[in-house]
Amino acid sequence: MGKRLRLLSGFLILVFGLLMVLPALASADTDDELTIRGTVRVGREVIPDAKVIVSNAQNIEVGSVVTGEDGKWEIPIPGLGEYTVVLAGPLPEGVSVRDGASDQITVFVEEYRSKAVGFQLIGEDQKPILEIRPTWERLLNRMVSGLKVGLLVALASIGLSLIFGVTGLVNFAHSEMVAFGAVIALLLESTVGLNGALFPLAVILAVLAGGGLGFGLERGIFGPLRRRKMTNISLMVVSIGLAFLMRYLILIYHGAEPETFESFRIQSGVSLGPIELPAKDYFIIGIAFTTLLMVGLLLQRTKLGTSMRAVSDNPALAESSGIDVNRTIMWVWILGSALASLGGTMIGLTQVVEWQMGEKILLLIFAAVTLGGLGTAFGAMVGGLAIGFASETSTFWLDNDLKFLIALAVMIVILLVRPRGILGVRERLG
Amino acid sequence: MMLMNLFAEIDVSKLFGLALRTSISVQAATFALAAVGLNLHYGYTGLLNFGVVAFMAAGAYGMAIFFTQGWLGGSILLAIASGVVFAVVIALSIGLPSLRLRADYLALTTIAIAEVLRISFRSQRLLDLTGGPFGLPSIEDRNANVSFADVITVDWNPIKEGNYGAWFLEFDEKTLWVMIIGWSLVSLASLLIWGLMRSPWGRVIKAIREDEDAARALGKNVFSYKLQSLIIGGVIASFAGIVRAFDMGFVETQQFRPQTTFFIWTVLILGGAASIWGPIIGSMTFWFVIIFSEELLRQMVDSGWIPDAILQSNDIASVRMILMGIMLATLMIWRPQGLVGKKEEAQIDIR
Repeated sequence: MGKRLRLLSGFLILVFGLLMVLPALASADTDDELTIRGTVRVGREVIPDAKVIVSNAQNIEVGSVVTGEDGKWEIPIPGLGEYTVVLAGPLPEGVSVRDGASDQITVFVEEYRSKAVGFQLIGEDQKPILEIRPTWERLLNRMVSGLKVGLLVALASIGLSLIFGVTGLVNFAHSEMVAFGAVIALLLESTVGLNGALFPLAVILAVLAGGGLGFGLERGIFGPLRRRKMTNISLMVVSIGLAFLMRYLILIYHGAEPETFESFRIQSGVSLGPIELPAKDYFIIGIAFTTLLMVGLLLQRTKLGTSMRAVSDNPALAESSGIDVNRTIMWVWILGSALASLGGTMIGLTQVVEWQMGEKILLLIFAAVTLGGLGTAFGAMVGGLAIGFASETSTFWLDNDLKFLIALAVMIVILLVRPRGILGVRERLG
Repeated sequence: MMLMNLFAEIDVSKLFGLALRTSISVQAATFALAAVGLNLHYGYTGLLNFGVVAFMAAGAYGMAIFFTQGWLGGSILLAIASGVVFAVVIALSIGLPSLRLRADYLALTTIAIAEVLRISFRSQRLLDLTGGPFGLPSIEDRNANVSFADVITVDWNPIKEGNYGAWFLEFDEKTLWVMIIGWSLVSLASLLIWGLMRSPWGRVIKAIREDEDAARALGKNVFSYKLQSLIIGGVIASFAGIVRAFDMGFVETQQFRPQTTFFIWTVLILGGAASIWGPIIGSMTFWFVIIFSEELLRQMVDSGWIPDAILQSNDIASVRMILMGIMLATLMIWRPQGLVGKKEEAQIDIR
């Protein structure tokens, strides 16, 4: 049994390695702060909620964003080169592109600086520009998309919290498991050809691969080290090293270019009352919500879930009451990283798949689990929902680049005021 | 036979030359300096500071903002002082509320505060002050070749114009001058730590690392000592940021991403935490190993020894990060005391 498991884990690590080698190699440029930005405006009036899309020379979408309250937008680009910026609207009534100008602008980014792009728009002479939708509707839409982001952060966070609960490890590599899931799903879609109707299979396989990765990490690295009585602080530093290893392997073998899932590139909105979202977003919300429910049931109703909670509460007591602690820890790793993979795939569906996904979501995940209480799965769900919702909805009032500040500020305040979080237990207080 | 071929393809002189050059460069000096600061936090006091880069950013940006705004006549010395003061403010705002937290919570708080600082500097709203994503000096100044670094690196440079040294170790007068400043600061800071650790203050600090409750039972104000350690180490790290800004001639938020913090952690753990020579040896070894492997890989890729399917030459920059990750993880597992540290002092078990 033991031998077979070790063989299996070695095989899984091998699969991980092979999968990373598969894709066509793209050029890598580690510069990430390069952006194209601008303000959509007519004269002095700024236009909020207009979509701007940036594509590269191969006509692949690099990113898209909706202008903020101040009409500003900014889209990160992977490197120097030629890009096409499209103003996809919607524009307020009476506003149009100036004669002789275009809603598509081609720019050459030649130096490592943000490139400013302006569209030439013209309004009906001297008439004030009316907003196309009432403020409350726009706020409602932003809140629904906040809910979506919250659900996804929750999915991605559960694993970190559960693993901390049963082992005491703050796993910095957790966010790379999120990126891993998205990259594997993308790979299966584009290279293996699981697109269109077969796409769910790609997601399922990515989730399984994520579970396998968790199994491999526990069996190959963290389990043995824990048995060597390494302290959790040392293990945390090990996980930081592992995170860099994984992140830059993904960069080398996935490439620096952000990519989108072919089957779900640009979708038009589907209205549901005052809410208008791309069709895929309704599905994503549904899938995330169902999965969270299932995890909740698993933890509350099944023997495995009960033993997970028991080990989390008190490993010694759990062991003496006949629970196989190591086996439980293993299942926590598998479950946690499978969920992280699923979260990553879904995040990739709504945004882009890129090597820096992990780095970008890491602090959101940390904020989520500290808010909810380190070590509790339900805390991670509540915290993830709250953090995702708050940071996404904040873009209604604040600059897009400040949304992370909201999450970080919440995290700092929680750590200072109530370190055990909303649902944490008292013993965790330092 | 194949191995012989490989050796024929490798430019050994360049390999060692570049690696050696980087291991004594300003970059290595700034990493050593920041690691001296972190060493006081983590090695001696046991504070899990994952926000080293916040102190570097505070120093660099404090100095650059003060100078480019021309406050109080725009003196560079006052500007440097304001960078240091900014670092002290950061130390207080991290330390006052969060030093009572458990070790891993302190780690999360410090990394979060460092990111808050970086994102704020980058924000469009502070464009006039920090230059937002463009950094300082402003684009116009940069195009006109004007920098806050000029006073130190050009006007006050006592070294005559020209190139000094030979082989790959040839430096122009500007680089040499900043190198001297950098390594002098490293020596001064190391001396300071050496003196502090032999003083009663240092003994209390180490006692706190070993057993906080025992130190408290002996009537020591643990919180106050920790705060002092955070401030002193933070000031040392802020000088690392300042020297780096002088070296590069500009400051940008990119230089202060969390990965810089982990580079410095790797340097410290490689050299050996809780030892005076650890940060210096760590930084020099770190850069030697990184540049050596990078150059070796580059030459092997260029000569076709490593096929394109495995690695391409423009991927080599990321190998640096992978190496850093592997070094950090494996050292932690097999040699937590690093190259020159003492094993009994490097057992981190902070709860």
